[in-house]
Amino acid sequence: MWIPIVVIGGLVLVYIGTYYLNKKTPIPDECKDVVDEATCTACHNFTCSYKK
Amino acid sequence: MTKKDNFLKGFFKENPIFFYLLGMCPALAVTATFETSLGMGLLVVFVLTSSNIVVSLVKKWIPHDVRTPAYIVIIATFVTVVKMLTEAYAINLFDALGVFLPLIVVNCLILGRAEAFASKNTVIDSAIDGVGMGLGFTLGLVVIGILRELLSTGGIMFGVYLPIGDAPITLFSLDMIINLFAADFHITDYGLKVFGLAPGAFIALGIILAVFQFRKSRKDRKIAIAKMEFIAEKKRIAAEKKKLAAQKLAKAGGK
Amino acid sequence: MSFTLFATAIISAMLINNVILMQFLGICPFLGVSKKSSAAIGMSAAVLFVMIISSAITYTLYDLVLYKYGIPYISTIAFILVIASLVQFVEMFIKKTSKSLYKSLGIYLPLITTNCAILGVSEGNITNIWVNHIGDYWGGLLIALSTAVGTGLGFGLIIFAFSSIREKLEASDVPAAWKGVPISLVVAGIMSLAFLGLAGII
Repeated sequence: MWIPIVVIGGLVLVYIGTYYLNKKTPIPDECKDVVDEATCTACHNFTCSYKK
Repeated sequence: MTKKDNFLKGFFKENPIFFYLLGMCPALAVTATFETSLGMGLLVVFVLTSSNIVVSLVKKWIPHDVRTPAYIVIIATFVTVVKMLTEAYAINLFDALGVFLPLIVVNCLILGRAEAFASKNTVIDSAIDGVGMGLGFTLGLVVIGILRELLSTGGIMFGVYLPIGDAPITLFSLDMIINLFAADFHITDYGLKVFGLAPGAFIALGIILAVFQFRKSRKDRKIAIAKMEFIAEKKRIAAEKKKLAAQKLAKAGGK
Repeated sequence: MSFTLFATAIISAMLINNVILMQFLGICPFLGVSKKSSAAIGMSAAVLFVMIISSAITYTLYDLVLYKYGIPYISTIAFILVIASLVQFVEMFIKKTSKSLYKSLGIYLPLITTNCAILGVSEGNITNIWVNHIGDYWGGLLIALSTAVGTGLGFGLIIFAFSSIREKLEASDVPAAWKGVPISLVVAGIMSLAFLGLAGII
């Protein structure tokens, strides 16, 4: 009973940890415009069309 | 936006498949027959509605920075529920969908709706949006599925995958029409089998999107022509006014 | 024997069951990124890299934890979490180490979390190994890794070939109704038809 909870809980913690660390690491300055372009051309994304 | 508009927008105006091109992987992979498309669509309706409801319920407690992980966990939970229910009650559908059932998790549509709509709106609005968008997605899948199944087998079957009724029934067959004129001719023997296979999926979706684009381009052209006429009319009026003014000036100068 | 197994798995994943044209995974980047060849190469390199690592981790997790303790039903949620955190980690790592690598490859990493191909390969590996009755851990890992390599290479091959076709397509005179996605889909259909002919190799 407790094994799935531990496994999922651990993975969630790992994910949130890496997500936070990644967010804290700044994107190199020269790449900023490239990132936006890539995010919006690579996938027809709802979040993209709503950001405009 | 009224509740009715909110519900109806997913069907035509903002159809996820035909206008946003979201969820293309299932749109190509599970649409070999009408019934698998319908089944996939209904599963997406369930996952989308319940994830929208839960996301809008807990939106106040989720810190803004970790919202994407939280949404992914919520969606993955519902997909697991759906996967187990399908395996228990509709094993044929489960086998037919295969890997695309767990792949509902990464359907851009669901994460996109959670981020763009459910995280900003009330529970009831989010539920309506989920049902509407999900049914719009189902409509898209079913249109592709009907086209592909008609072209590949010449008829529409029902009851093979979904656990409804005892034996599969033929909903519609091109034979029904053709046999009115030629009794011994079975068009179902001459199906374009390729539309049931991988290449046919791409070509069928391409044809459907081209039809939509054709309608849109005609509308755009009409608007453009109307605009040009409007501008030409304005220019003409302006030129006439100028002429009149010049004439008046000339008269005034003559005096 | 294991080399034959490896080679067969790679060829079958790369050409016969091509990830885009036959299994319809990763259509979204296929239609989006393939406008430019450079973007296509960056995206497919990122996919190949993440796919290999993620299928090794997910297979290990499934075999040594989920299956062993009788909880295979949480595989979907566990896999998506593994892939998502792996992507975050790799992105952070590249950000810190190399700017040029980030510019060419790293910018596509956030898009990979919602890429069907990665999760699809992880899920497919489980069924595949289950069906083929490969009992021990190392044999399964070999199959999982070779499938991942083959799938990633197949993804790159198709996306690169398609980007080259698309550059020609931009210059050609296509009817207004077919411009853009519809004609790309039909071209993909014809490519798929060609790949259907490879089904007899193995």
